[in-house]
Amino acid sequence: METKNDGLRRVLFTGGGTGGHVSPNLAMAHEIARRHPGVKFLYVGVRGKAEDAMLRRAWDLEKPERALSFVRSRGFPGASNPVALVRFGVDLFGGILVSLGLMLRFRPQVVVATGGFVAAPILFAAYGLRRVGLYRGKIFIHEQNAVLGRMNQLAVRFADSVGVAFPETRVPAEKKLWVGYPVRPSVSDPRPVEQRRREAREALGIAADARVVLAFGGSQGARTLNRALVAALPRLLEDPKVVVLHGTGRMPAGGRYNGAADVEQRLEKLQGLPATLDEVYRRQEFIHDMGTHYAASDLVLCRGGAGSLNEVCANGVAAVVIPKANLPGDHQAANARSLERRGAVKVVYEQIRLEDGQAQEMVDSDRLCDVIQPLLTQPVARSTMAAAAKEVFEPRTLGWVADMVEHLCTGGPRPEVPEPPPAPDEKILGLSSNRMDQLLRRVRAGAESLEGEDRALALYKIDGYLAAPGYVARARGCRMVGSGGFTERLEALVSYASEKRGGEFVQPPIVRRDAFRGLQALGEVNERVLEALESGLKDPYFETRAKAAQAIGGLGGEDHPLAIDPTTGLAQRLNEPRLFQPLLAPLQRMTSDSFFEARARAVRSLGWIALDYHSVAGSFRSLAFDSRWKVRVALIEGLHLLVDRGVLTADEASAEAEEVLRTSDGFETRYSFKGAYNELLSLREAAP
Amino acid sequence: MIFWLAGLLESAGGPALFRFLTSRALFAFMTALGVGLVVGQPIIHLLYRKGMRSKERKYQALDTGSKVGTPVMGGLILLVAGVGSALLWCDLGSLTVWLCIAASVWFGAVGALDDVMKVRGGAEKGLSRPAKLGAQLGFGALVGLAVISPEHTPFPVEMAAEIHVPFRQAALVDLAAFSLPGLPTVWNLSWLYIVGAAIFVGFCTNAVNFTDGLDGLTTVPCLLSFAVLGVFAYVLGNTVWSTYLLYPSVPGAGEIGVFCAAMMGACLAFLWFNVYPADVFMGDMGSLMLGGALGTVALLLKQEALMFIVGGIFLIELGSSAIQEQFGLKRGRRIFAAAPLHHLYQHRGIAESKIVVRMWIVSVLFAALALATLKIR
Repeated sequence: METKNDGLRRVLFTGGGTGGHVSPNLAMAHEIARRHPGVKFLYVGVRGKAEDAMLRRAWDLEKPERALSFVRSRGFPGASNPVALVRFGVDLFGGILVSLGLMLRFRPQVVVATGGFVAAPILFAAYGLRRVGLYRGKIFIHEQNAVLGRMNQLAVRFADSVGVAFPETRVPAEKKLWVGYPVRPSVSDPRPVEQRRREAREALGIAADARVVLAFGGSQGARTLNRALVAALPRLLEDPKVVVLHGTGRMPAGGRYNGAADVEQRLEKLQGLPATLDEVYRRQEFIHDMGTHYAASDLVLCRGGAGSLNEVCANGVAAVVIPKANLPGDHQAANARSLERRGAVKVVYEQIRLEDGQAQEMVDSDRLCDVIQPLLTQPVARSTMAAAAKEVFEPRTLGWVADMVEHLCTGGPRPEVPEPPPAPDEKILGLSSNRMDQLLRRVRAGAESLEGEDRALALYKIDGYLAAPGYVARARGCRMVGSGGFTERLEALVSYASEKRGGEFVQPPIVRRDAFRGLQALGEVNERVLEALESGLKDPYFETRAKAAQAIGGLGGEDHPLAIDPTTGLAQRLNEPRLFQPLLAPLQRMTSDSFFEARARAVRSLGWIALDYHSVAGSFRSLAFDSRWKVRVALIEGLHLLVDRGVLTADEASAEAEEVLRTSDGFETRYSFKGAYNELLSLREAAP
Repeated sequence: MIFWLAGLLESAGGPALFRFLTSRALFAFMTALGVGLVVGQPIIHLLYRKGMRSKERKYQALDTGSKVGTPVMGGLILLVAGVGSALLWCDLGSLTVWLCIAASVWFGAVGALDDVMKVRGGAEKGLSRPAKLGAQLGFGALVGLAVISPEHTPFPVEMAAEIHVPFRQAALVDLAAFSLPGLPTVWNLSWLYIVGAAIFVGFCTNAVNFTDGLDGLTTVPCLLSFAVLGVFAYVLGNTVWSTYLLYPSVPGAGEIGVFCAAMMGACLAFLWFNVYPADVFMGDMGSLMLGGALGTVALLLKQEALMFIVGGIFLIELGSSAIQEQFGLKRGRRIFAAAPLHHLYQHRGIAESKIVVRMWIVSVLFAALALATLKIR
């Protein structure tokens, strides 16, 4: 056995909480142990978490060279709950104390951490000891996801080197080392695909010409994935050649979701399943032999965790990914996007719905079928994806990581890692909501385009905002639906604008207000929209009333200039003012609203939808001496619109305007000096 | 300084003119005004050259319709003129004067730091709220401590921990008369005065800070506040007047009147440049400094409650903002279409110059009301 350097004797691994942080550690440990047979490992985790069980299975803890220790730690609960915050602080403090002891006794040459709150005590202890000179070893962290986890964001500052699995992860260049994802050797079989597939199918008893879908949502199961898949079964299994292998997930002690039971319950309610169901739909709680299952499958349906995705790539299988929503940094979406842009996977985003104030994720089974079915019937598309996936997988990862650990501890040569593939531009992910709103506005204005996958991602992000617990984000989501022109969410806007439950509005006032802004920007009119507008005119909140009135004007014409009808060749409005006649009376009543902006918006919108002046003249005239000049200006503008639309003649309108109090308010400031300066600057831009 | 020189001069047989409070107050006012007018333009040019330009709302070079690019941190003019004149004309042997000057310099420095950080890093990158509040409360507590400590208090020791309110002759409450049950009387509640002083100074600085939003909007109400507090300082420090108006006499309070006069002159000089359309904004440096100085002066005269009358504009501005924030935005709605108050009027479309002058008129009313409390009690 090769032993490059015998200086490596003690390595401490930490990280966990979920299996996704543990298995890369195990893979790295495997490689290091292969090179240095005498090396001692200490794994530090939290009792009862994924690392507990996985370590006991993977390592022979009887051997003196392998040890597992536990510390206390818990995830940061957010600053809003003081009790949880105190508990967090106490646990972390205790964990750090224990870690200090572990560090001093084990004296590792390098601490390898994969992230997760589990790694916090050891990392802080190592950092502290190093500051006071009691620890001279190194700190190496590995980030598996495309976005840095919360722990790793902190740890990047004092780590000696940071290995990343995705080239786009943001880490200071001098510490960043793109190495790829350390995949367990047991699932990355280097033999040719065809051979492995044949053998695996024989082992599982599946026909060689079957179309096999392997679906799993991690060890605990994924509710949205399970439910969408089961609902899609009738359609998928219409094709007799399709075989679905499903890992439903096992409920952990104290868990809330029992995947296996949920699947059975839903299966019973389904109609139109084939008689041979158990033959073509094979479900088990937990798939132990993932390597064989990967090898047997034509298509994988999985979550967007870095582990699953990299295993998919290592096996060179086409995959459809359902990233889990509402995670820190949206890292599953970022992971899936990264592979999607390189053609390795297709992404189906969760839709987030607000039900009884609770965000519920779901995936429409038809949408899922629409993605899966073509892939199953088109081997070429599938093999293109599989090839792209294989391309993403980096077989030298484990070697590089081990080289790096050796380099850090014993000064061996730094691994020569090639430049990572260039990170493709990402339009949506990583944008703040403000920036995204700006982008959508530019798209609306035609300055930029948002197509296909980018648009789907934008919609997914907007869904996240719409279901956010904070009203500010929901309001922004409403505005973005409008500015992005997502007519798919018209219903959501309508219900946000006007839905009541038990006599009370479901949404807080500012969300209702912004729902009307969204509706106006969206530009669609149907019965439900008209009802929402009518409700908005009577809304108890002043800003909502004003925005509803404004939206009527926008929908009734302001945002919809005349279009030429292709059949008749005549000019006509997209949203015909006649549609809005039921709103005429409430709008007229609004001209006596207590809030001046509501009066102003109402009178102006009357200008857009009134079909004759006679019926609205009273409302117009009642505002002629309004105390706010902005209302009077809106009145003049309303008259102007009536003339434009041919309801009034210019003479009549002028006569009406004659009766309006005209004041000198509302002048605009123009700083002449700055104007002259800007004109000079504009020469620079005009110059070739 | 001149007070001290005049003492030497007088002992050598010179005129006594420079020893009288009234004459020194007038000279302090005129000096500050003159200095402010002279140093104003150079300071504005300096600020502009150093890149201290407003970045509010937009980040382009200049905008024909907005105030982007106007120099900020004009509080420097106020500081140079006001504190400079106070150093010249006040009796520097008095601790109260030094406290007032320290307040101006401290809050000026904190505000300047905030301004610089904002200009460098954008509006969100100023001093954090806790840091600002800490600086304000800390200084307020220091002033409170000076007021109640028997060695340093500018008041007769028996009234050090008393709280006085307008329209009432006797003290509202004497904190020193209460103690927690079971504890010796030495452990009385005087320390509550320190807490109150800290909160009061925090209120004053923030209120002035919130008001500072339109050209000249803060300057005139501050000037009037200093004027009224200056009158009170004179009355309290003058045995004849305080006896006539039934106030407890506070020897040495008159020096604060000289300081107030200097600050009035500085405000007026600043207004020269700050009036619509402004050549310079006072920035946080100016608003924190004026607010901090006003709060300190009011504490040192035991006229805390008077500040809520004379500074009624500040109270309304801060109040409207707080109501919007606490009762509105926290619950998903607005109470006012815009806040603080001057933004509400702007939202209604009233021209800026009109809003400002109307606010001045209202603050004159508040000042008159505050002066009326001298006699109505």
